[in-house]
Amino acid sequence: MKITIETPKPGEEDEVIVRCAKVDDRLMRLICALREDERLTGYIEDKIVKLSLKDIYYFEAVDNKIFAYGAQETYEIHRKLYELEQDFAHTDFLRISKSAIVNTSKIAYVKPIFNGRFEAKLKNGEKIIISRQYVAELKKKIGI
Amino acid sequence: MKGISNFVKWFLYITTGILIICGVNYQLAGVEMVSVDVFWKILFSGFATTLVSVLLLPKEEDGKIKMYLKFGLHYAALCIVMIPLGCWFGWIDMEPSGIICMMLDVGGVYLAALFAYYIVDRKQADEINRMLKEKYGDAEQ
Repeated sequence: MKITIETPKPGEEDEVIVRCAKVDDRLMRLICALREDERLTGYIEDKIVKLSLKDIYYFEAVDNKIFAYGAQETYEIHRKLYELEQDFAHTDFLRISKSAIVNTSKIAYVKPIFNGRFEAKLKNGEKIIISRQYVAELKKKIGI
Repeated sequence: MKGISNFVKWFLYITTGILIICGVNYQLAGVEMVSVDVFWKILFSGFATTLVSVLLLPKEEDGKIKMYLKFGLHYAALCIVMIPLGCWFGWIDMEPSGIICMMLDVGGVYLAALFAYYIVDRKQADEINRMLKEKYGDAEQ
């Protein structure tokens, strides 16, 4: 595979262009690695914060607003949930209910609860509901 | 397709529960021989109660209070279906003791079916946890 590194012109954004006949697993892993370092803009009170994807535990839609939850902090994100779902489809993030997307690498364990749903305990101690309809997707994501 | 597989799944859980409860009741009553039509009665009861269940079981999006109310309503509906069926099949007499027996039996089947459902989910959760551990390890990142 030929690798070319070009320096962008002053004022231009850094950009990675992948030119290939087929996106194979190796390439997908590379894209995932690049995406994991991707940053999002979060808003907390009157501050604007650059968030690293790997520090986000989950996204949740509450009253038409989207929030990103870190280990302790919560930030508002000015994006739509479906946009986050699409943009981060190739990372560890996965839609688990109508209102939430979780970082699967932050799940400590899952357990079944009443009413046919599953509950995910995150590594920061928080609990989040996984709708039954998304369990198959979770299994696929983690390689079952 | 999803609706049919959901129906079949509940039918199997419920019918197995009814079969177990019938077996226990016949044993306790000292019945040594049962007629072959008891199996059709069990299957018909399973079918009728599965129909009620797929219609009335709480949905995922229901909140906690709504969920408990729906469980209560579901149990009441099952009793309403099973008491006349029990009389028709000759399993109970239409008197207070017979009705109470049938309500207890419905409760028994209800718990058995929910337990079976939970066991299947538990197995699924164990599988997910094993893969999560394998993929990401235990440590906080």
